[in-house]
Amino acid sequence: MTQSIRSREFQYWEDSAANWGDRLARLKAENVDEVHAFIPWGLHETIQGIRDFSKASRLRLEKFLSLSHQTGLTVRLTIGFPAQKESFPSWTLALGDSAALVPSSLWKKSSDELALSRLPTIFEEALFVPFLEFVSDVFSLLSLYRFPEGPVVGVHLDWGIYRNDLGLTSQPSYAAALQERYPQASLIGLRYHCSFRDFSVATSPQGTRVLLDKRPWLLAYDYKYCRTRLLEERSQGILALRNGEPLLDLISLDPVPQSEPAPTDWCVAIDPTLLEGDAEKKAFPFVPSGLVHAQAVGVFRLWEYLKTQSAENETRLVTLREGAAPASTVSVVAGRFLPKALFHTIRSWVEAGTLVVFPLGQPQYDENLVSLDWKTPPRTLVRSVLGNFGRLGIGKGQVWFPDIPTQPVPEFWEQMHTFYEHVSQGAIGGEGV
Amino acid sequence: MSTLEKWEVEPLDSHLRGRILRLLGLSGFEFSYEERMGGLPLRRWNVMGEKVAAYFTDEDPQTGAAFIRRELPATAFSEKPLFPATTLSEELLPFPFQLWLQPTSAEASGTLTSGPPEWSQAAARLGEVFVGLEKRLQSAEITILELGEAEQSLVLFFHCVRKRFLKLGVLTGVTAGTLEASDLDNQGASYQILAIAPSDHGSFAEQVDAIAQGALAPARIALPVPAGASLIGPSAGLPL
Repeated sequence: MTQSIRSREFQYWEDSAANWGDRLARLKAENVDEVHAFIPWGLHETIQGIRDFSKASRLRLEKFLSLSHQTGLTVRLTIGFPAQKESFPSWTLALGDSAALVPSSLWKKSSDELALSRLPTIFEEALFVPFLEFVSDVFSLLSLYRFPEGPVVGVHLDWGIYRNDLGLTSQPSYAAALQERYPQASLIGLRYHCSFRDFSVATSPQGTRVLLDKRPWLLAYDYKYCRTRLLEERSQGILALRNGEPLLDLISLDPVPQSEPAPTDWCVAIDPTLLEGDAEKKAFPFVPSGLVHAQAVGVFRLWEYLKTQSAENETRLVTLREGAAPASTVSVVAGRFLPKALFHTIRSWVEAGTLVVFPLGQPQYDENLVSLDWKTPPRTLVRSVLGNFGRLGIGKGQVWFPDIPTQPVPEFWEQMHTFYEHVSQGAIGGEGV
Repeated sequence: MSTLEKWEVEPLDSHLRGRILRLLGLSGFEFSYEERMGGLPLRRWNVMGEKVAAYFTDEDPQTGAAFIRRELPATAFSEKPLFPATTLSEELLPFPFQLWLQPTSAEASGTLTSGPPEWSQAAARLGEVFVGLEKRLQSAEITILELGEAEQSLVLFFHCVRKRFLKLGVLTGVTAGTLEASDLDNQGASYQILAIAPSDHGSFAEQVDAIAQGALAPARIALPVPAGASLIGPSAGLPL
């Protein structure tokens, strides 16, 4: 039988070292097994090239690791750029010629204002090289404290706020990443119904505006594909550090996993392609280089509405993502397009017995504009007092959707909830017509 | 270890800002907030204290007559500094309530309009109260600001050096009226404990007056501020 690990966040640098021992002991007494901490570059290297891990009381990383080990706690550490000011030394803020553009409201403890902020970009060596040097020092230090001789059981590389960088199109590497997806510029033209001479034109501000106007969902998908690829390349640069070798099996390229709530009866999941951030916490419209499209704003406004309603009705609103089904009935809010990977995720949920409802109609195409194959086996049309619905049985579960794709109405939440109650109770299961 | 080091200062987030609004008696006033870019609505909210109901359709939300509208530049999202210099009202009050206290003029972050006039005037007065309070906080190195009374209260901590707040947040586990001068001795060159606990009034303007009264009241405890450290201006005559 596996035992779940109880973990707690412990930001050592928020408190003076004199208090760490007591606080860690208290956590241990509360049956906590593991603490998670972020190693803030912005505090450890306030002067370029001078890295402090021992002088200032709050920055004594080795002391924190030793105390944790003595207390019997394991430690999982994060390095990178969580959206908080401690991630960046102040001297980095003016580095480089180009900038990352990030949603201001996704910044920790910020207000909900809709605006963008400039950051030095990780895709310029001016920032990446000093960060590599910092990480190299951290790896050297951590390699002395790996479990079981020390407490370190994991090191997570988290690109944090750069996962929401909306200013990438100005980076030369963005065009190269786009070329991985579309080997020829003419293929972009085919997908977007326009024509581009080459990739530099397609990724120019004017080209981005054209692509956004033609197919906003597809541009959001392509943009995020490129962003993921570019961050993966940066991760490889860090994994190649020789100092990281003793830790290699401990280094993870994902943020520290959060414990997932137990599946509920019903939840609402939204396709995040036209959103930035996290539907459960704070989201932001997809606005590449700050450019606005009505469709992205519409999805954002729908998310705000769903967030209000889900809080009021104590129902989970989640980002549609790969992994296990978050509820036994999931209402998936998505438009005509859905990434292929998420289509397969949903199918696997249904095959295992989940009931999936598409209140706005079932998505029809993936990112390659290929039809999504919902229709094997054939659907049944069901008439009820709630309207006409298509029903598909796949494996142990079912997929439901209005027979004609619809737009959300002011009573959207109530409609979704009523429909959930009916299908989960089998009230409109009836005979097909 | 000094007493203050034992206390945890929790940075303010939207939840705590909502509590501050409640303790100031400002959470019961309803207004609508609308944000547009060109002709495109970006957000439409009905706001009541910390409760925000978002509407995604263009139908008018059911709301009172008070409103704030923000019109953003038409072509692209505006840019904001990563670490903007914030005023006291921006630190303490939740979004979008804090917009009431900003001047209703064309700015980089959008043009603000608000109404009705009696609300806007009371909000402008509240803005002045916050400016005065900010200066008062800057007059001592350490300020404890108690909002509300007894168990429901929130105790804010300000550490200010050369008119800059080095630390600002909520003292966790401390309630109003429990701190004494001995808790603050040797903590800084000067300190003060202020208390604001306005009771609820019927109108927005009356509530602002009640807050103003609290913000001008004498400090509950103060280590005299060195001469020359100005408070909220010569006419205020604060009896610190």
